[in-house]
Amino acid sequence: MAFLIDPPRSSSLRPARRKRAIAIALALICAILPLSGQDPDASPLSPRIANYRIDVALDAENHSLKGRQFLLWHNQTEFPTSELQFHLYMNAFRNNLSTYMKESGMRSLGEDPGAWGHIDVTEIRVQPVPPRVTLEERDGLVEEVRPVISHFDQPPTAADMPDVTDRMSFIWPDDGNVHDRTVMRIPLAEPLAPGEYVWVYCTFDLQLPDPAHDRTGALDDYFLVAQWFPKIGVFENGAWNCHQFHANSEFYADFGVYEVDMTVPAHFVLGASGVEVEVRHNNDGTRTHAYRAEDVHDFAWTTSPDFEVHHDKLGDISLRLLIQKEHAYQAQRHLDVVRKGLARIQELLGPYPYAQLTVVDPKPGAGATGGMEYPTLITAGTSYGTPSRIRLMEATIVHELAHQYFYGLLASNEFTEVWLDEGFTTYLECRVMKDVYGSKGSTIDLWDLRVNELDVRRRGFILQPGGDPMLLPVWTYNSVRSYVINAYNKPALALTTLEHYLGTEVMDDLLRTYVERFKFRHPKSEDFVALAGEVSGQDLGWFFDQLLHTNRVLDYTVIRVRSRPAPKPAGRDSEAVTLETGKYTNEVTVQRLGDFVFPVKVQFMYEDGATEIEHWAGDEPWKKFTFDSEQRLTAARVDPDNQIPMDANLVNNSRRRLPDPEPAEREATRWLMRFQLLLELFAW
Amino acid sequence: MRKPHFIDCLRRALPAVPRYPRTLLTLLFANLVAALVCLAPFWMAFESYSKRRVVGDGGLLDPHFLVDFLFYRQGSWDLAKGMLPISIGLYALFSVFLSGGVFSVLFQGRGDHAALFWRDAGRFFPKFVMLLVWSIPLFALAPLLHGGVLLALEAIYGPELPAAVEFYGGWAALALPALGWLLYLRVFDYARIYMVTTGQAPASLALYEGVVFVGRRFFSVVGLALSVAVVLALWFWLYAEARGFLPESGWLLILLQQIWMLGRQAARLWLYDAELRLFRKLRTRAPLKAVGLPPRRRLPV
Repeated sequence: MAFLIDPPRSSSLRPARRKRAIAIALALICAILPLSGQDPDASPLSPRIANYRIDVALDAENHSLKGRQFLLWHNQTEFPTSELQFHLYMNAFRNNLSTYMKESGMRSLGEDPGAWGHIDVTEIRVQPVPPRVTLEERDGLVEEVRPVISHFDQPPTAADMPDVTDRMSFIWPDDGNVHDRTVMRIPLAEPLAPGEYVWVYCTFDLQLPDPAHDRTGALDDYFLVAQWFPKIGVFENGAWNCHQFHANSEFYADFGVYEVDMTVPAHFVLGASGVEVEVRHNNDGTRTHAYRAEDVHDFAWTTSPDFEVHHDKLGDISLRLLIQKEHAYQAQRHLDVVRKGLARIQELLGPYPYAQLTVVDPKPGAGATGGMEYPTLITAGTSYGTPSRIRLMEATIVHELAHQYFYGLLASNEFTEVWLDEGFTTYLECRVMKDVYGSKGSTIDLWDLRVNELDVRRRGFILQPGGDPMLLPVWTYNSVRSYVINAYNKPALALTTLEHYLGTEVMDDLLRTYVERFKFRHPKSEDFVALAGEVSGQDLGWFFDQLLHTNRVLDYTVIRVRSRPAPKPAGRDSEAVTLETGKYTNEVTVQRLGDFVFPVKVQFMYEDGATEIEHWAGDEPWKKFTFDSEQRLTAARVDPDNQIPMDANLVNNSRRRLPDPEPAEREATRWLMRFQLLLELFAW
Repeated sequence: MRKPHFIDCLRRALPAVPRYPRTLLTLLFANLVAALVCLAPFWMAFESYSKRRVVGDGGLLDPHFLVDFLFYRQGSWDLAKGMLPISIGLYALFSVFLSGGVFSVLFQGRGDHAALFWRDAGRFFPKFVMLLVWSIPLFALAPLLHGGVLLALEAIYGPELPAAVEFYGGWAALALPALGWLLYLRVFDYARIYMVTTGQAPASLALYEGVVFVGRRFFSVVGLALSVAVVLALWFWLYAEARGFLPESGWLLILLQQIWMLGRQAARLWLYDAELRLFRKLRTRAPLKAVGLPPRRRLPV
């Protein structure tokens, strides 16, 4: 079980050499660090910056937790830091003054004090490691040599560490709300230099909100414990990136190792991020479950006596389903979608790098904890009696599986670049649902009603296609609707549009490369944009600039279709003239209604059923196509193959030269019978 | 074993139906016109959307375009949705109006009689409307039934119902008012029959007689209605099979639809006539018992 996090061997006293040494150390760190006792020969997958050992005990009756944690944090940047910042996200539910409560528009969580949640950090001790070190001369240079750092599983004695509890304070980096207590700051006695480690010890009392609110909490004897421990922020570019808890975003953290001991009543079933390594039976009717999760950036767990546990395998991955007993008859349905969905996602994005995946079915009434993603643990949500052809649960599971990559492996900043997280996930959800359940009716497949996941997303998108630019801090969108559109719907439609534009093969290559190159890192929008250019061999700046930084709307339409017999030469001196024209002269005018420029195909349709395609760059306000043909033109349409789901209005994409009542008549015939039947119900 | 009364009534009523072709066509025509009135705003919405568009193989309401259709044609869609309940309500009243004529000509039993039909349709309409007004307390039973089922479940299982109980209980809470509604329709039928057969009867008394008759002759009443429903279901199955051989639209399809609907109206007429016969048959016996004549008994041989 030894878990060593060795520091760079040495660093020079001279700044230049020191920098180089740090850079080399950073580059090599993944390769040289030994891993856990599970596989001591394997290299760590991630930089392992924030590493936690947590002991926590659940008081199931009072819905409270008592915990203590050691954090070993490694400053892998080139900058020193004079403070540490932590998320205390359970304080979002502390009172109605928090930023979360204000943003979500809730005035109260209830009269009962147990309805509110909070976290109180009762003690904090900080000890940088290692202490200053010996100097040695090597190869003519005087070098600072640090001893091999202590093992992660041998933290210092808490009592020996300097107590800094009274230096703790709250800060409000996002909105200046002085009542918000979701970000804690601890100044350090001395700045922590690049490459150095620090041990932080703290104890905390935590109350879970009941019923669960926005993704965490309790309901009777069901607990979904997320955003629960003091979690360190991300130190990057010489500053802390540690956002307050917002109504619509909550994730940005560094990778590391989590060793978490959770003590719960003995008859409770428990599931958590990572893998269970030990279960200890205690004398007080409780059991302690020891879990270990490596190379993840968060840790969540759930426990309840009402879970039924089902196991399955997908290759080497153990699948564990914790399903409510009353939903147990849907266990196979859950496992089916997990197997099929994850298999397809792995085909698209590369292997899932963890040994286990836990799927949780929340207790009915605790829907607020459903549809959530945590490393190696996802929550779904179903209802008793949901027909198998209404695949909302399946869509949720596929969405959360995709999050294991876009959030789990590629830990982008959800606060400021949410499309990299929710947007990519939604795109993948639409794609995988289509691949697994068919291109028609992937989400709902009931008689005449066949709805695809992409159609569902379009429905949301067209409500407000031009509200905000996509790339904004989440809490600055003009409304919740705008957030949903820009975080989920628009990115999914934009990436599908990009897939059609580049070709599925190129898109697949792009996605695989993106995951491979940026996994266990914090990719940013510009990383993806640059990579898209690199993989496709095209400059895609024109597309992403419009998409990310403007609220431009994409909408093309056909406004005029004309076809007339070609004029014969007439008048003076025209008798001998022979014009090489077709029988008909046609004119089609296409217009760009929105200001988002995108190249489109224009299809011309003739009386004999033949079609012809023209391409238009779409950069002018309108374009007129004038041409001759042997057959009379009947209609024209832009984007004939429906390759641009980002088009805000598909109704105006085509135009007939002459009206055709047939489609309306056909529909009316069907509806006439429906109405006749309906009326018979009221024929007394 | 003696044949149930309702079988006999159904058997006798069936050959009578073809004697009322004009009544049948009137019912069909009323239904068709009302359906066209309901359809008109939807048709206009479809036309405004599709007349100048290229509609794909998925049809006008292909889900890919449906979201845009619903969103960008929201005005015409809302208008159509808004007009629908009004059209349905008017049709319901008109069918009540027609039923006075239908029951009258069936009661006379001499085939179609246009003058009698329209005169009695008008004559009984206000009475039938009063009957509806008196029925309001019965309508109020529907939500009570619904809430009662839920309350009973809560009393048994506590406020947090097990998911299976909640699911099936929810369906039961929906199904019971629906069954109650079907039963009410029988009460309404027999109350109207009472009015037509007795000539002049206050609506309250007719409703009472209807309730009493349905209560006393419950199995006959339900058996009769169920038998017609089964025949209708078979008729629908035949229609659905035949529909598969026809194109998606066109006059042939409309013709088939109207043939189906004509059968539906014939079934309605058949039901009314059988109910009339059942009422006349069974109601006349009841008073005999009421006056206390001893039942006939066979002495053991």
